[in-house]
Amino acid sequence: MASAANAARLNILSCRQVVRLPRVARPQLIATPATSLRRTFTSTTARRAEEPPAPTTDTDAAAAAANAVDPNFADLKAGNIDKLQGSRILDYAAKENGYLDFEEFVSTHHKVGADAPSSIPKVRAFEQTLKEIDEGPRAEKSSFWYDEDDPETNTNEHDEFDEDDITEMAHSKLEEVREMRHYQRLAIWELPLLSKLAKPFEPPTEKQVLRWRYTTYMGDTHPAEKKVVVQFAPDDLGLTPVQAEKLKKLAGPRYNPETEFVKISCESYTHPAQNKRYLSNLVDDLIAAAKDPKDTFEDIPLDTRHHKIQEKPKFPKEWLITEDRQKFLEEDRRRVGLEEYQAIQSGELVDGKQAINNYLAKKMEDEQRKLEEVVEVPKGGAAKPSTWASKSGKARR
Amino acid sequence: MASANSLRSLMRPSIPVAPRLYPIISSSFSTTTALSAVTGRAPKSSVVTSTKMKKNFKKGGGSTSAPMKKPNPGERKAFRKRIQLSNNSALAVEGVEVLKADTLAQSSSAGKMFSIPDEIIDQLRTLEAFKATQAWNLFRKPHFLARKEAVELGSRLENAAKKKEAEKIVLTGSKLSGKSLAVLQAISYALLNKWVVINIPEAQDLTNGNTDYAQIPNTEPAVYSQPVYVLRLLQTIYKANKAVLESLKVEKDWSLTGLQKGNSLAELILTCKESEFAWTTFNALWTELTLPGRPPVLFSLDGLSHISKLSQYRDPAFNLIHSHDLALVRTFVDALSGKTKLPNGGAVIASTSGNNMQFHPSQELVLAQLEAGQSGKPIPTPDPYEKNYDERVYESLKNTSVLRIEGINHDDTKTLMGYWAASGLLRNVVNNHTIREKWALAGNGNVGEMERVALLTMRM
Repeated sequence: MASAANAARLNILSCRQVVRLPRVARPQLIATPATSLRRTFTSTTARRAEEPPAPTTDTDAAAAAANAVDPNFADLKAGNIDKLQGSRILDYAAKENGYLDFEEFVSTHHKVGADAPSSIPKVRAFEQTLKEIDEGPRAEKSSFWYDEDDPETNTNEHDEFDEDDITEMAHSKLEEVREMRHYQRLAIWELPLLSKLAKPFEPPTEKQVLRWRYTTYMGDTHPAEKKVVVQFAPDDLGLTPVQAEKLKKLAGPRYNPETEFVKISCESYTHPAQNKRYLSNLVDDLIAAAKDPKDTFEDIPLDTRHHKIQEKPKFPKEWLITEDRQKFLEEDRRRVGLEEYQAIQSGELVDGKQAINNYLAKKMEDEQRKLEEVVEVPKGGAAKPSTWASKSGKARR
Repeated sequence: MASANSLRSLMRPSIPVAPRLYPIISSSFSTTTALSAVTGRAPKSSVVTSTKMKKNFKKGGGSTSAPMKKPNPGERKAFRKRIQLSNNSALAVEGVEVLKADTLAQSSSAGKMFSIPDEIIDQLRTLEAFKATQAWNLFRKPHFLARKEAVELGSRLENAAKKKEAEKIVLTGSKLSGKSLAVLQAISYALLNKWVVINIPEAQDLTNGNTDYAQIPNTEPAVYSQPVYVLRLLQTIYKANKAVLESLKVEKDWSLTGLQKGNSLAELILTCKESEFAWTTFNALWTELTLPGRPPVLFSLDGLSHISKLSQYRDPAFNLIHSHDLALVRTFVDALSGKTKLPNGGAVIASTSGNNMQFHPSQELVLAQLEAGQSGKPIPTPDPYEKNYDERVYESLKNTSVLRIEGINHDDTKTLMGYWAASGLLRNVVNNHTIREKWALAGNGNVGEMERVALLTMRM
């Protein structure tokens, strides 16, 4: 993944101070051990420590190094594993550049710096590597993702996609598939086990006339959690018809004349149990009031204006094709067919088109006859010219 | 000069001016002076006569762009209400029996077509028994189908005349089922049997506040007459029942109206020339008709629900007047409820209107109860919490019998469609298939709907 390099870099950054300290301190401790302690609090970069240290003897340096390492290791022993890891990365980089480890590089560097200038490019390359590790890859200012406020952002990561992975959407889709499979596995393997807990349905007995309803939100707190509803049929309470009627009238709009149930709910109190207690008392009071013979309310008709019974259209019973109906229909069709056949045979069947055609034919016939009569008349009175002819003749003159 | 001018007013006019013999006719409600109607037009000035001058600069100018004559007053109503009883393009149907006096009372005539005889067509037209919504204008001559209910109605009318009892009937049924036609059939039966027929063709005309009304003096609680409507009704009664009324002599003393003893009832009606005396005259006529020894009377009304509610008229305290407080409506309602006996027999028929229906809970209840009682079903009880019940309406209708008119059966359909086809209006073979198709399309043989699907298919 593209982010591996970045992770490594971040790792190094996190133990930056620790890495710097030995690198910087070692040469300086030899000269002024007190300054390294002060340096831990400075905000200046550690690069200044790379200034050429004052020349010392090898023995002094070795002894000083031995002294200097000890407090550092004490710090490591205290449990800072990141620091150890940072030094390991430095060792690895040093190995790649042909040193045994970072310690060796530091020691040889000073020797080489003094004796053999021919090996300077090699050293420079390594230093470049170190610098890169230290600072991370250089920010590309021309990149689309470059941000001035956050110049350390790795723009390469966003710019380049190595075509080695599916897209983010595909990942989420896969996640979805995994989730569904998880639930399917549950449904197949776990849910059947629930049937062990199933109990057979027991219809309420005659004594269980109240039907209670509680609400749970599966552990969630909800304002409707405290609500309790009770339903009962006044006819099931073992009252006389008059008492039951009175109960219905007392229940008012809480009585549903369609289902013949009284339904009362309560959410006045904080806990469901309190609400249930209230409802239970209320039902007791209602029954007691209904049984009170002082006023039976018989003169008041039951008011059902609160409930509008909506008639649902049902298939009419009369339309059902029973055997009798089938027989009747067949009989009827046969009779009608026979009548029609007889009507056709006797020519009694009325046809609108035929009627019009007959009329038109008759009319044409009449006109024809009339025309013939008209033609006959001039033959009879040939001597007398028609009036139209005489008039036209006059006009011509 | 001033004195000369003032003297001029005393001069006799050189051109004799006719004295004013008749009052200036103007609307009684108008406050404008009547002068403008009398004075001659002022001479047109030259400015006004120049017609080329553009006066109206309105955009789109509807009236100026297309010159159209505005219809005269009443012209549109006349067009809307015109009754056309023949169509020369339709074929004449031969072999149809003519309606006779006792035809509708015979059970054998059920399911047959009959033609309305010419002598009563004019009477029916005068009584406005034909409705503009009925399809008379399609056929050569007016015919009707004597359906089962019509025959039942006819036989009941016959019985009523025989027993000298009033038959009180309310016709109900769904829209376009033929209730108004049943009224027409009853009227034709009555006319052919020399009954006296009084018909109120539209009850809503009485109660929707469109005719003038006045309180009848000395009535407590107040009763209101509708003078102009009653005057027209009297003239209708006279025209439609002229022959019968002329044969009946006045029995009571109506010398106040200038009527002498021995004059006929027709003359009683004719004494009423002005609307002020219309209600008195109608009352006198009704009293005379309900005396023993007169012919039976048929009093029919179409649109029952309109007289069951409050009318649109107001009393002096600006309260709405109940329709039963209108004198003519009350006369009808009293006859319908049996309060007024008809000693000569006769019938009072009220027909509900399907399309122009006003829902009235009392009317619905009483009709439902009567119908259930007649068919032996459980009688519906009134809703104890309904507040719009009206006891007067309930009382007025509780003594009636309900005759429900719905669709016709297949055999009647066959007869009717045979007539349509023979008239050249239904261009189909009247076979089983056609009959049942139209019958089903018309909601189980509703005649009006059947006309729609079979005859009026080209109407937009």
